[in-house]
Amino acid sequence: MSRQKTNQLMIALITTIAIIVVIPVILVILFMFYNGLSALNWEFLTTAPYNGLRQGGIMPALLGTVYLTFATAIVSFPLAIAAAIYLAEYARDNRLTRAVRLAIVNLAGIPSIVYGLFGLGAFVLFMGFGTSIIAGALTLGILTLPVVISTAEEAILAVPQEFRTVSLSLGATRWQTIRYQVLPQALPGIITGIILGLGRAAGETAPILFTVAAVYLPELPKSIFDQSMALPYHLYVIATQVPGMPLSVQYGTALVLLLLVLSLTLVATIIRTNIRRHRQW
Amino acid sequence: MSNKIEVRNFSFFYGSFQALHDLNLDIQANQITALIGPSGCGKSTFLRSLNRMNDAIPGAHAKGEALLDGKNIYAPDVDVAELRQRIGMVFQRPNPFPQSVYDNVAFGPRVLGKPKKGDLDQLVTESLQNAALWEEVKDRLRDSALELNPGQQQRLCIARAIAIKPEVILMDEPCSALDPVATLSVEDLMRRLAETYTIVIVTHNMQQAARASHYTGFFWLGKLVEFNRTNELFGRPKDPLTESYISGRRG
Ligand SMILES: Nc1ncnc2c1ncn2[C@@H]1O[C@H](COP(=O)(O)OP(=O)(O)O)[C@@H](O)[C@H]1O
Ligand SMILES: [Mg+2]
Repeated sequence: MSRQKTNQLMIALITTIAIIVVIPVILVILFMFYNGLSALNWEFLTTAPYNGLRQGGIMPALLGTVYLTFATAIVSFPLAIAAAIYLAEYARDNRLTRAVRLAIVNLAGIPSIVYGLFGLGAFVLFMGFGTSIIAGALTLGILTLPVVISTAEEAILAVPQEFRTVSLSLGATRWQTIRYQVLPQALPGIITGIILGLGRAAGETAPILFTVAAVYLPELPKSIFDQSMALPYHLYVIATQVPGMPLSVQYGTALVLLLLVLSLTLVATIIRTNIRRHRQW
Repeated sequence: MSNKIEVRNFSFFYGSFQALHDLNLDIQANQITALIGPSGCGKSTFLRSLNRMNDAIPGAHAKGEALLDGKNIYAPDVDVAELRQRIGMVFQRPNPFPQSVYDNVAFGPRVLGKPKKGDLDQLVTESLQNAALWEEVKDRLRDSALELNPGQQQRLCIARAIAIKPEVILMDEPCSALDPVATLSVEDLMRRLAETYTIVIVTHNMQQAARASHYTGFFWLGKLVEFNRTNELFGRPKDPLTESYISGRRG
C-alpha cells in the first residue's frame, strides 16, 4: 500500500473510533431523557418523597447532594491548593514530593467503596462525627484530591516564570509572589479542576453509603453534623430496594443526577475555554 | 559625586563555572552607568547579582563584595526582599502583569505595606508621570496593561519599578524589544530619572551607551576590561580590546 493510502486509511480509522467513543455517551443521555423526562416537573424537584418513596419528589436528596457538594468543595479547596503550591512552587523534586505524587496516583486508583469504608472508620467512628454531612464531605474531599491537585498544579506551573521573577524583583516575598501573582493567575484553572472533582464527587454512591446517606429523611439537615439524603444513594435505593417503584421516577431521578453532573462539567469546560481564549502570554 | 555601589574583587559562579572574574568598579550616585560587551560576557549576571536575583539558581554563589552605601549586599543579615526594594529592576522584554495598568504600578507598594487608597492613587499617578506615561494612560488605568503597545508597556514596567521608590534601578537591555522611537523615549526618561535614581543599564547598542550614559564598563568573557567616563571610554579607549570592540571589529 502506498504511503498516501495508509495515511488516508489511518485517518479514517481514527475518526471512526473517535465517533464510536462518543456514541455511547450520546446514547446514555438520550436514553435518560427519553425515559425520565416524563417524571420531571417542578413538584418532583420541590417535594419530599412519601408512600415508601414511591410517590412525591426528590427534594431532600437533591438538596442533600447540593449541600454535600458545597461541603466537599470547602474541604477539597484548601487541601488541594496547599498541596499544589507545595508541589509546584516549593519543592519540585524531593523525597516528600515524590511521596505525595505517588500517593496521588494511588489515591486516583482506589475503588470508591474503599473511600467509603475509610470514611466510616476515620470520620464517622474514630473522629466521632457520626453519619453526617461533614463525614461525607471529608470522604468525598479526599476522593477529589487527585484530580484537583493535579489540575491545580498544572495551572500553577502554567503561570510564566517571568512574573515570579518580576514580583520578587519588586521586593515581594516568595509567599506574596504566590499569593498575589501566581494564585490569581492560576485561579481559573484551579477552579476548573475543583469543579471537575466535584462533578465526580456529586455522582458517587459508595463513599457516602456509610458516611452520610439516609434512606428516608424528609426534613432537611440543619447542620453539617446531621445525616442527609443524597441523590446517588437515593437512586440506588429506589432502583434496588423498593418493590413496585415506578420506572419513570427512577429514570427521572437518574436524569436529574446526570444533569447535575453534566452541568458541573460544562461550567468547568466553559471556564477552561475562556482562560485559553483570554490568556495572552 | 558619591559612590552608590562599590564592587570589590567580586566574582560570581554558576556551580563550578565562573561567570564573573574579580570585578572592581564604583557606580556613582545619580549617574547612568552603561555596561557593554558581547553576548554571554556576564553583563546580565553582574546586574542580577546586584539585587540578588541569581540567588534562586541552584549552585550560584558570589565571592568578594558589592557594597550598597558601604554595606555588603551579600552580608548574611541582608533581607533580600528589602534589598530589592532599594535596588529595582527593569527587564529586557516588557513584562507587565496581566492585570490593569493601575494594579501593575500598585503591586509593589501593596506588597510592601498597606497604603491608604488615596496615598496609593497619588503614588500611582506620580510614578506614571515620572515614567512619562501618565498622559497616555490616565483614562485607561483600569484597562489591561497588555493592551498597551510595547513602548508603553516598557515605560509601565519602569513606573512599576519606581513606585516602590528604589535608590538604584537596574535595566537589562530595556530597549532591545522596542522600535527606535520608543527607544529614544525610554532614553529620555532615563536621563530624567537619573536626577533621582542611580541607573545601571546593560545595552547591546553602543550608540545607546555613548548617547545616554555617564559611565561605561566594557565586559569581555566575564572580566571588566575597562571602566571609565563614557566620553573617555569611547573617545580614548585605553585597552586595545575595548578599542576594537567599540569600533566594531570585534563582537
Ligand atoms: N542560570 C545560569 N546557569 C549557568 N550558567 C549561566 C546562567 N546564566 C548565564 N550563564 C552563563 O554565564 C555567562 C554570562 O551570561 P550572561 O550574564 O547572561 O551574559 P550577557 O548578559 O552578557 O549576555 C554565559 O556563559 C552564560 O552561559
Ligand atoms: Mg544578558
